[in-house]
Amino acid sequence: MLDPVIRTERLSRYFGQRAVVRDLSLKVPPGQVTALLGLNGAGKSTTIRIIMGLLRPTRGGCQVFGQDSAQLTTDTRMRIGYMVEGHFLYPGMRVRECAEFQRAGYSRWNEAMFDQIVGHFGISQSTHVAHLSRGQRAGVSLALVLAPDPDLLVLDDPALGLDPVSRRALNETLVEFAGDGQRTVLLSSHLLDDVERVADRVLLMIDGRLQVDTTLDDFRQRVTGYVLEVDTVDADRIAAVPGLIEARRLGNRLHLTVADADEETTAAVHRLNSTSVEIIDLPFTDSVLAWLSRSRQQQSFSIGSRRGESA
Amino acid sequence: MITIFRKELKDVVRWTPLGMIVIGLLCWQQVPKYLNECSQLPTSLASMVIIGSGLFALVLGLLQSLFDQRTDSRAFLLHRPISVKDIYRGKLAAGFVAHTIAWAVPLLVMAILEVTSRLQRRSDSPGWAATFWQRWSERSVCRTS
Repeated sequence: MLDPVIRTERLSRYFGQRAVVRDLSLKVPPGQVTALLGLNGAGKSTTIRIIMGLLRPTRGGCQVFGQDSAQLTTDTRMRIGYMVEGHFLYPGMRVRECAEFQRAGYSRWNEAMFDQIVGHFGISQSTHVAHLSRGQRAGVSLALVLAPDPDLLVLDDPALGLDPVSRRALNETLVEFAGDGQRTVLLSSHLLDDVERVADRVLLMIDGRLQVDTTLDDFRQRVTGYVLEVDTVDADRIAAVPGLIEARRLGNRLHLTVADADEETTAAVHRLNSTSVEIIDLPFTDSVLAWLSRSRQQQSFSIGSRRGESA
Repeated sequence: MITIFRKELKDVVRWTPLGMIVIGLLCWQQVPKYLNECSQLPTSLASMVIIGSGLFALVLGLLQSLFDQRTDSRAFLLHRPISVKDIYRGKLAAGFVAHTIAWAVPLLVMAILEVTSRLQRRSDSPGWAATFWQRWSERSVCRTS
Protein backbone atom coordinates (compact mmCIF):
# COMPACT_ATOMS: atom_id res chain seq x y z
CA MET A 1 0.00 0.00 0.00
CA LEU A 2 1.20 3.48 -0.86
CA ASP A 3 2.24 5.79 1.95
CA PRO A 4 -0.46 8.24 2.97
CA VAL A 5 0.07 11.80 1.80
CA ILE A 6 -1.19 13.20 5.10
CA ARG A 7 -0.91 11.36 8.39
CA THR A 8 -1.84 12.62 11.82
CA GLU A 9 -1.13 10.80 15.05
CA ARG A 10 -3.20 11.61 18.14
CA LEU A 11 -3.35 15.23 17.13
CA SER A 12 -4.82 17.60 19.69
CA ARG A 13 -5.15 21.33 19.73
CA TYR A 14 -6.36 23.47 22.60
CA PHE A 15 -7.30 27.15 22.53
CA GLY A 16 -6.98 28.03 26.18
CA GLN A 17 -8.85 25.33 28.08
CA ARG A 18 -11.02 24.41 25.09
CA ALA A 19 -10.03 21.38 23.05
CA VAL A 20 -10.83 22.04 19.39
CA VAL A 21 -9.13 18.94 17.99
CA ARG A 22 -8.87 15.81 20.15
CA ASP A 23 -6.74 12.76 19.54
CA LEU A 24 -7.15 12.93 15.81
CA SER A 25 -5.48 10.08 13.95
CA LEU A 26 -6.12 9.96 10.24
CA LYS A 27 -4.53 9.02 6.95
CA VAL A 28 -5.23 10.63 3.62
CA PRO A 29 -4.31 8.15 0.88
CA PRO A 30 -2.73 9.33 -2.37
CA GLY A 31 -4.71 9.76 -5.56
CA GLN A 32 -8.08 10.19 -3.88
CA VAL A 33 -10.46 12.98 -3.01
CA THR A 34 -11.04 12.98 0.74
CA ALA A 35 -13.81 15.08 2.22
CA LEU A 36 -13.55 16.42 5.75
CA LEU A 37 -17.05 16.95 7.09
CA GLY A 38 -18.40 18.38 10.29
CA LEU A 39 -20.49 21.14 11.80
CA ASN A 40 -19.16 24.63 12.41
CA GLY A 41 -16.63 24.44 15.22
CA ALA A 42 -16.00 20.73 14.71
CA GLY A 43 -12.30 21.43 14.21
CA LYS A 44 -12.01 21.06 10.41
CA SER A 45 -10.29 24.36 9.70
CA THR A 46 -8.03 23.99 12.73
CA THR A 47 -7.00 20.54 11.50
CA ILE A 48 -6.29 21.93 8.04
CA ARG A 49 -4.27 24.79 9.51
CA ILE A 50 -2.20 22.28 11.47
CA ILE A 51 -1.73 20.15 8.35
CA MET A 52 -0.54 23.23 6.47
CA GLY A 53 1.94 24.07 9.21
CA LEU A 54 0.21 27.33 10.08
CA LEU A 55 -0.70 26.24 13.59
CA ARG A 56 1.21 24.08 16.01
CA PRO A 57 -0.61 21.18 17.62
CA THR A 58 -0.79 21.11 21.40
CA ARG A 59 -0.11 17.36 21.33
CA GLY A 60 0.48 14.73 18.71
CA GLY A 61 2.05 14.98 15.30
CA CYS A 62 1.20 15.58 11.69
CA GLN A 63 3.13 14.63 8.59
CA VAL A 64 2.64 15.75 5.01
CA PHE A 65 4.60 13.88 2.34
CA GLY A 66 6.46 12.27 5.23
CA GLN A 67 7.59 15.63 6.60
CA ASP A 68 6.61 17.22 9.89
CA SER A 69 3.93 19.75 8.97
CA ALA A 70 5.35 22.31 11.40
CA GLN A 71 8.58 22.37 9.40
CA LEU A 72 7.53 22.07 5.79
CA THR A 73 10.31 23.01 3.41
CA THR A 74 9.73 25.29 0.43
CA ASP A 75 10.10 22.26 -1.87
CA THR A 76 7.28 20.47 -0.06
CA ARG A 77 5.12 23.58 -0.03
CA MET A 78 5.64 23.75 -3.78
CA ARG A 79 3.84 20.41 -4.05
CA ILE A 80 0.81 21.60 -2.07
CA GLY A 81 -1.95 23.85 -3.31
CA TYR A 82 -3.88 25.40 -0.45
CA MET A 83 -7.07 27.38 -0.86
CA VAL A 84 -7.76 29.29 2.33
CA GLU A 85 -11.24 29.65 3.75
CA GLY A 86 -13.06 32.65 2.31
CA HIS A 87 -11.01 32.76 -0.92
CA PHE A 88 -8.65 35.43 0.34
CA LEU A 89 -6.88 37.55 -2.25
CA TYR A 90 -5.18 40.92 -1.90
CA PRO A 91 -7.87 43.46 -2.81
CA GLY A 92 -5.42 45.99 -4.25
CA MET A 93 -4.20 43.64 -6.96
CA ARG A 94 -5.54 42.90 -10.40
CA VAL A 95 -6.13 39.27 -11.36
CA ARG A 96 -3.00 39.31 -13.54
CA GLU A 97 -0.92 40.68 -10.65
CA CYS A 98 -2.29 37.95 -8.37
CA ALA A 99 -0.93 35.37 -10.81
CA GLU A 100 2.46 37.09 -10.98
CA PHE A 101 2.62 37.28 -7.20
CA GLN A 102 1.58 33.68 -6.71
CA ARG A 103 3.90 32.11 -9.26
CA ALA A 104 7.04 33.37 -7.50
CA GLY A 105 9.06 30.44 -6.26
CA TYR A 106 7.16 27.73 -8.14
CA SER A 107 9.18 25.69 -10.58
CA ARG A 108 6.01 24.77 -12.48
CA TRP A 109 3.32 27.19 -13.53
CA ASN A 110 0.67 26.25 -16.04
CA GLU A 111 -0.32 29.57 -17.56
CA ALA A 112 -2.80 27.92 -19.91
CA MET A 113 -4.57 26.25 -16.99
CA PHE A 114 -4.73 29.54 -15.10
CA ASP A 115 -6.22 31.32 -18.12
CA GLN A 116 -8.65 28.45 -18.69
CA ILE A 117 -9.99 28.40 -15.12
CA VAL A 118 -10.22 32.17 -14.89
CA GLY A 119 -12.02 32.13 -18.25
CA HIS A 120 -14.33 29.37 -17.01
CA PHE A 121 -15.50 31.73 -14.28
CA GLY A 122 -15.88 34.58 -16.77
CA ILE A 123 -13.21 36.84 -15.29
CA SER A 124 -11.09 39.38 -17.14
CA GLN A 125 -7.46 39.35 -15.98
CA SER A 126 -7.33 43.12 -15.80
CA THR A 127 -10.11 43.23 -13.21
CA HIS A 128 -9.31 44.45 -9.72
CA VAL A 129 -9.82 41.80 -7.03
CA ALA A 130 -11.90 44.30 -5.07
CA HIS A 131 -14.40 44.36 -7.94
CA LEU A 132 -14.79 40.58 -8.16
CA SER A 133 -17.86 38.75 -6.90
CA ARG A 134 -17.42 36.00 -4.32
CA GLY A 135 -17.77 33.31 -6.98
CA GLN A 136 -15.22 35.01 -9.19
CA ARG A 137 -12.83 35.31 -6.25
CA ALA A 138 -13.23 31.59 -5.71
CA GLY A 139 -12.43 31.05 -9.36
CA VAL A 140 -9.24 33.11 -9.14
CA SER A 141 -8.24 31.34 -5.91
CA LEU A 142 -8.78 27.97 -7.53
CA ALA A 143 -6.80 29.00 -10.60
CA LEU A 144 -3.96 30.20 -8.36
CA VAL A 145 -3.73 26.91 -6.47
CA LEU A 146 -4.10 24.69 -9.54
CA ALA A 147 -1.73 26.51 -11.90
CA PRO A 148 1.43 25.24 -10.12
CA ASP A 149 0.10 21.72 -10.78
CA PRO A 150 0.30 20.56 -7.15
CA ASP A 151 0.42 16.92 -6.06
CA LEU A 152 -1.77 17.67 -3.07
CA LEU A 153 -4.67 20.08 -3.03
CA VAL A 154 -6.08 21.25 0.29
CA LEU A 155 -9.32 23.20 0.05
CA ASP A 156 -10.87 24.76 3.13
CA ASP A 157 -14.57 25.19 2.42
CA PRO A 158 -14.05 26.09 -1.24
CA ALA A 159 -17.77 26.41 -2.03
CA LEU A 160 -18.48 28.85 0.80
CA GLY A 161 -20.93 31.47 -0.42
CA LEU A 162 -20.88 30.38 -4.03
CA ASP A 163 -23.89 30.48 -6.32
CA PRO A 164 -24.98 27.18 -7.98
CA VAL A 165 -23.24 27.99 -11.27
CA SER A 166 -19.94 28.76 -9.57
CA ARG A 167 -20.31 25.61 -7.45
CA ARG A 168 -20.79 23.52 -10.53
CA ALA A 169 -17.75 25.15 -12.15
CA LEU A 170 -15.75 24.42 -8.99
CA ASN A 171 -16.86 20.77 -8.90
CA GLU A 172 -16.11 20.27 -12.58
CA THR A 173 -12.65 21.73 -12.14
CA LEU A 174 -12.00 19.50 -9.12
CA VAL A 175 -13.18 16.35 -10.86
CA GLU A 176 -11.02 17.20 -13.86
CA PHE A 177 -8.02 17.87 -11.63
CA ALA A 178 -8.27 14.70 -9.56
CA GLY A 179 -9.66 12.51 -12.31
CA ASP A 180 -6.35 10.92 -13.32
CA GLY A 181 -5.86 9.43 -9.84
CA GLN A 182 -2.38 10.91 -9.59
CA ARG A 183 -3.25 13.81 -7.37
CA THR A 184 -4.65 13.95 -3.88
CA VAL A 185 -7.35 16.30 -2.68
CA LEU A 186 -8.43 17.08 0.88
CA LEU A 187 -11.45 19.30 1.05
CA SER A 188 -13.60 20.46 3.91
CA SER A 189 -17.16 21.33 3.07
CA HIS A 190 -20.72 21.69 4.33
CA LEU A 191 -22.21 20.99 0.94
CA LEU A 192 -22.95 17.29 1.06
CA ASP A 193 -24.31 17.07 -2.48
CA ASP A 194 -21.04 18.39 -3.82
CA VAL A 195 -19.06 16.07 -1.59
CA GLU A 196 -21.04 13.07 -2.83
CA ARG A 197 -20.24 14.08 -6.39
CA VAL A 198 -16.50 14.49 -6.03
CA ALA A 199 -15.26 12.58 -2.96
CA ASP A 200 -13.86 9.05 -2.67
CA ARG A 201 -13.43 9.07 1.10
CA VAL A 202 -15.23 10.66 4.01
CA LEU A 203 -13.81 11.91 7.29
CA LEU A 204 -16.46 13.03 9.72
CA MET A 205 -15.46 15.17 12.68
CA ILE A 206 -17.71 15.83 15.63
CA ASP A 207 -16.57 18.06 18.48
CA GLY A 208 -12.95 17.75 17.45
CA ARG A 209 -13.00 13.95 17.28
CA LEU A 210 -12.92 11.81 14.18
CA GLN A 211 -16.08 9.71 14.11
CA VAL A 212 -15.99 8.31 10.58
CA ASP A 213 -13.04 7.50 8.34
CA THR A 214 -14.02 5.38 5.39
CA THR A 215 -14.78 5.34 1.68
CA LEU A 216 -17.95 6.93 0.42
CA ASP A 217 -19.38 3.61 -0.75
CA ASP A 218 -18.60 1.92 2.55
CA PHE A 219 -20.18 4.80 4.43
CA ARG A 220 -23.36 4.47 2.37
CA GLN A 221 -23.51 0.73 2.95
CA ARG A 222 -22.84 0.87 6.68
CA VAL A 223 -25.58 3.34 7.51
CA THR A 224 -29.11 1.94 7.50
CA GLY A 225 -32.44 3.64 8.01
CA TYR A 226 -35.55 2.17 9.68
CA VAL A 227 -39.01 3.66 9.60
CA LEU A 228 -41.35 2.35 12.30
CA GLU A 229 -45.06 2.97 12.90
CA VAL A 230 -45.36 3.51 16.65
CA ASP A 231 -47.98 4.70 19.07
CA THR A 232 -45.77 5.14 22.10
CA VAL A 233 -42.03 5.63 22.31
CA ASP A 234 -39.86 4.06 24.95
CA ALA A 235 -36.71 6.22 25.01
CA ASP A 236 -34.69 3.62 26.93
CA ARG A 237 -35.47 0.89 24.41
CA ILE A 238 -34.57 3.20 21.51
CA ALA A 239 -31.27 4.10 23.18
CA ALA A 240 -30.57 0.38 23.52
CA VAL A 241 -30.59 -0.19 19.74
CA PRO A 242 -27.00 -1.16 18.88
CA GLY A 243 -25.22 1.29 16.57
CA LEU A 244 -27.94 3.91 16.85
CA ILE A 245 -26.89 7.20 15.31
CA GLU A 246 -30.11 9.15 15.41
CA ALA A 247 -33.80 8.72 16.28
CA ARG A 248 -36.41 11.19 15.10
CA ARG A 249 -40.14 11.09 15.57
CA LEU A 250 -42.36 12.53 12.87
CA GLY A 251 -46.00 12.09 13.83
CA ASN A 252 -46.55 8.40 14.54
CA ARG A 253 -43.50 7.39 12.52
CA LEU A 254 -40.13 6.86 14.11
CA HIS A 255 -37.04 7.24 11.93
CA LEU A 256 -33.96 5.42 13.15
CA THR A 257 -30.53 5.76 11.62
CA VAL A 258 -28.13 2.99 12.57
CA ALA A 259 -24.51 2.24 11.81
CA ASP A 260 -23.31 -1.30 11.07
CA ALA A 261 -26.76 -2.85 11.50
CA ASP A 262 -26.76 -6.60 12.18
CA GLU A 263 -29.20 -9.20 13.46
CA GLU A 264 -28.99 -7.83 16.95
CA THR A 265 -29.95 -4.38 15.68
CA THR A 266 -32.89 -5.78 13.75
CA ALA A 267 -34.05 -7.66 16.84
CA ALA A 268 -33.76 -4.52 18.98
CA VAL A 269 -35.75 -2.53 16.43
CA HIS A 270 -38.50 -5.14 16.42
CA ARG A 271 -38.72 -4.94 20.22
CA LEU A 272 -39.89 -1.30 19.97
CA ASN A 273 -43.60 -2.24 19.85
CA SER A 274 -44.10 -0.99 16.35
CA THR A 275 -46.93 -2.01 14.06
CA SER A 276 -44.63 -2.03 11.02
CA VAL A 277 -40.89 -1.85 10.36
CA GLU A 278 -39.50 -0.71 7.03
CA ILE A 279 -35.84 -0.68 6.07
CA ILE A 280 -34.97 2.23 3.79
CA ASP A 281 -31.92 3.18 1.77
CA LEU A 282 -30.60 6.39 3.20
CA PRO A 283 -29.10 8.91 0.82
CA PHE A 284 -25.56 9.97 1.64
CA THR A 285 -26.73 13.42 2.70
CA ASP A 286 -29.24 12.01 5.20
CA SER A 287 -26.67 9.63 6.65
CA VAL A 288 -24.21 12.43 7.28
CA LEU A 289 -26.94 14.67 8.66
CA ALA A 290 -27.95 11.92 11.09
CA TRP A 291 -24.39 11.82 12.45
CA LEU A 292 -24.19 15.57 12.67
CA SER A 293 -27.66 15.97 14.20
CA ARG A 294 -26.74 13.59 16.98
CA SER A 295 -23.89 15.84 18.03
CA ARG A 296 -26.09 18.93 17.82
CA GLN A 297 -28.85 17.29 19.89
CA GLN A 298 -26.45 16.77 22.76
CA GLN A 299 -26.16 20.53 23.04
CA SER A 300 -29.65 21.52 21.93
CA PHE A 301 -31.39 24.65 23.09
CA SER A 302 -34.24 22.63 24.64
CA ILE A 303 -31.88 20.64 26.86
CA GLY A 304 -30.07 23.82 27.85
CA SER A 305 -33.31 25.62 28.72
CA ARG A 306 -34.62 22.64 30.71
CA ARG A 307 -31.38 22.59 32.64
CA GLY A 308 -31.77 26.31 33.21
CA GLU A 309 -35.29 25.80 34.51
CA SER A 310 -34.32 23.03 36.90
CA ALA A 311 -31.46 25.10 38.25
CA MET B 1 11.79 37.77 -1.90
CA ILE B 2 11.68 40.35 -4.70
CA THR B 3 8.01 39.56 -5.30
CA ILE B 4 7.16 40.02 -1.63
CA PHE B 5 9.23 43.23 -1.58
CA ARG B 6 7.40 44.65 -4.60
CA LYS B 7 3.99 43.76 -3.25
CA GLU B 8 4.79 45.15 0.20
CA LEU B 9 6.33 48.32 -1.19
CA LYS B 10 3.21 48.91 -3.25
CA ASP B 11 1.16 48.53 -0.08
CA VAL B 12 3.27 50.58 2.34
CA VAL B 13 4.25 53.36 -0.03
CA ARG B 14 0.66 54.58 0.28
CA TRP B 15 1.44 55.55 3.85
CA THR B 16 4.61 57.50 3.11
CA PRO B 17 2.82 60.82 2.37
CA LEU B 18 1.34 60.58 5.87
CA GLY B 19 4.81 60.02 7.32
CA MET B 20 6.22 62.87 5.24
CA ILE B 21 3.54 65.24 6.52
CA VAL B 22 4.11 64.28 10.17
CA ILE B 23 7.91 64.47 9.96
CA GLY B 24 7.70 67.60 7.79
CA LEU B 25 5.52 69.36 10.33
CA LEU B 26 7.84 68.38 13.17
CA CYS B 27 10.81 69.72 11.19
CA TRP B 28 8.96 72.88 10.27
CA GLN B 29 8.48 73.67 13.94
CA GLN B 30 12.24 73.76 14.36
CA VAL B 31 12.83 76.43 11.77
CA PRO B 32 14.59 79.29 13.66
CA LYS B 33 12.76 82.54 14.00
CA TYR B 34 15.78 84.44 15.27
CA LEU B 35 19.29 84.38 14.02
CA ASN B 36 20.74 83.30 17.38
CA GLU B 37 18.72 80.06 17.26
CA CYS B 38 20.41 78.99 14.07
CA SER B 39 23.26 77.22 15.81
CA GLN B 40 20.85 74.83 17.54
CA LEU B 41 19.09 73.88 14.33
CA PRO B 42 21.01 70.68 13.48
CA THR B 43 20.45 69.28 16.98
CA SER B 44 16.77 70.17 17.20
CA LEU B 45 16.13 69.00 13.64
CA ALA B 46 17.89 65.70 14.27
CA SER B 47 15.90 65.06 17.45
CA MET B 48 12.62 65.84 15.70
CA VAL B 49 13.49 63.57 12.77
CA ILE B 50 14.39 60.79 15.20
CA ILE B 51 11.11 61.17 17.10
CA GLY B 52 8.99 61.55 13.96
CA SER B 53 10.63 58.75 12.02
CA GLY B 54 10.53 56.50 15.09
CA LEU B 55 6.79 57.06 15.43
CA PHE B 56 6.26 56.49 11.75
CA ALA B 57 8.36 53.32 11.83
CA LEU B 58 6.15 52.00 14.62
CA VAL B 59 2.95 52.80 12.73
CA LEU B 60 4.36 51.34 9.52
CA GLY B 61 5.42 48.15 11.27
CA LEU B 62 1.96 47.77 12.80
CA LEU B 63 0.26 48.38 9.48
CA GLN B 64 2.51 45.84 7.79
CA SER B 65 1.89 43.16 10.38
CA LEU B 66 -1.69 43.77 11.56
CA PHE B 67 -3.33 42.99 8.23
CA ASP B 68 -1.45 39.71 8.07
CA GLN B 69 -2.64 38.67 11.53
CA ARG B 70 -5.97 37.67 10.00
CA THR B 71 -6.11 33.90 9.63
CA ASP B 72 -6.91 33.92 5.91
CA SER B 73 -4.43 36.64 5.02
CA ARG B 74 -1.69 34.99 7.06
CA ALA B 75 -2.33 31.60 5.49
CA PHE B 76 -2.34 33.10 2.00
CA LEU B 77 0.96 34.87 2.61
CA LEU B 78 2.81 32.06 4.36
CA HIS B 79 1.82 29.12 2.21
CA ARG B 80 4.13 29.59 -0.77
CA PRO B 81 7.49 28.18 -1.76
CA ILE B 82 9.29 31.08 -0.15
CA SER B 83 10.82 30.70 3.27
CA VAL B 84 9.36 32.64 6.18
CA LYS B 85 12.73 34.38 6.54
CA ASP B 86 12.55 35.65 2.97
CA ILE B 87 8.98 36.81 3.44
CA TYR B 88 10.09 38.69 6.55
CA ARG B 89 13.09 40.18 4.76
CA GLY B 90 10.93 41.29 1.85
CA LYS B 91 8.53 43.01 4.22
CA LEU B 92 11.37 44.56 6.18
CA ALA B 93 13.11 45.91 3.08
CA ALA B 94 9.87 47.41 1.77
CA GLY B 95 9.18 49.00 5.14
CA PHE B 96 12.73 50.36 5.27
CA VAL B 97 12.43 51.96 1.82
CA ALA B 98 9.04 53.52 2.62
CA HIS B 99 10.37 54.75 5.97
CA THR B 100 13.49 56.24 4.41
CA ILE B 101 11.44 58.12 1.81
CA ALA B 102 9.15 59.40 4.57
CA TRP B 103 11.94 61.03 6.60
CA ALA B 104 14.50 61.80 3.91
CA VAL B 105 12.24 63.86 1.65
CA PRO B 106 11.07 66.37 4.31
CA LEU B 107 14.57 66.60 5.70
CA LEU B 108 15.98 67.26 2.24
CA VAL B 109 13.37 69.90 1.52
CA MET B 110 14.11 71.49 4.89
CA ALA B 111 17.84 71.48 4.20
CA ILE B 112 17.39 73.09 0.77
CA LEU B 113 15.10 75.75 2.21
CA GLU B 114 17.49 76.43 5.04
CA VAL B 115 20.54 76.72 2.82
CA THR B 116 18.64 79.01 0.46
CA SER B 117 17.48 81.24 3.30
CA ARG B 118 20.96 81.39 4.81
CA LEU B 119 22.39 82.46 1.49
CA GLN B 120 19.67 85.05 1.38
CA ARG B 121 20.54 86.31 4.88
CA ARG B 122 24.24 86.43 4.12
CA SER B 123 23.66 88.44 0.96
CA ASP B 124 21.76 91.04 3.07
CA SER B 125 24.77 91.53 5.35
CA PRO B 126 27.52 90.60 2.97
CA GLY B 127 29.05 87.32 4.02
CA TRP B 128 31.23 84.91 2.14
CA ALA B 129 28.41 83.62 -0.06
CA ALA B 130 27.05 87.02 -0.92
CA THR B 131 30.52 88.31 -1.63
CA PHE B 132 31.15 85.34 -3.82
CA TRP B 133 27.94 85.88 -5.79
CA GLN B 134 28.61 89.61 -6.08
CA ARG B 135 32.13 89.11 -7.41
CA TRP B 136 31.04 86.41 -9.77
CA SER B 137 28.24 88.53 -11.22
CA GLU B 138 30.54 91.57 -11.58
CA ARG B 139 33.06 89.46 -13.45
CA SER B 140 30.44 88.12 -15.81
CA VAL B 141 29.11 91.66 -16.44
CA CYS B 142 32.66 92.80 -17.31
CA ARG B 143 33.07 89.92 -19.71
CA THR B 144 29.87 90.66 -21.56
CA SER B 145 30.63 94.37 -21.86
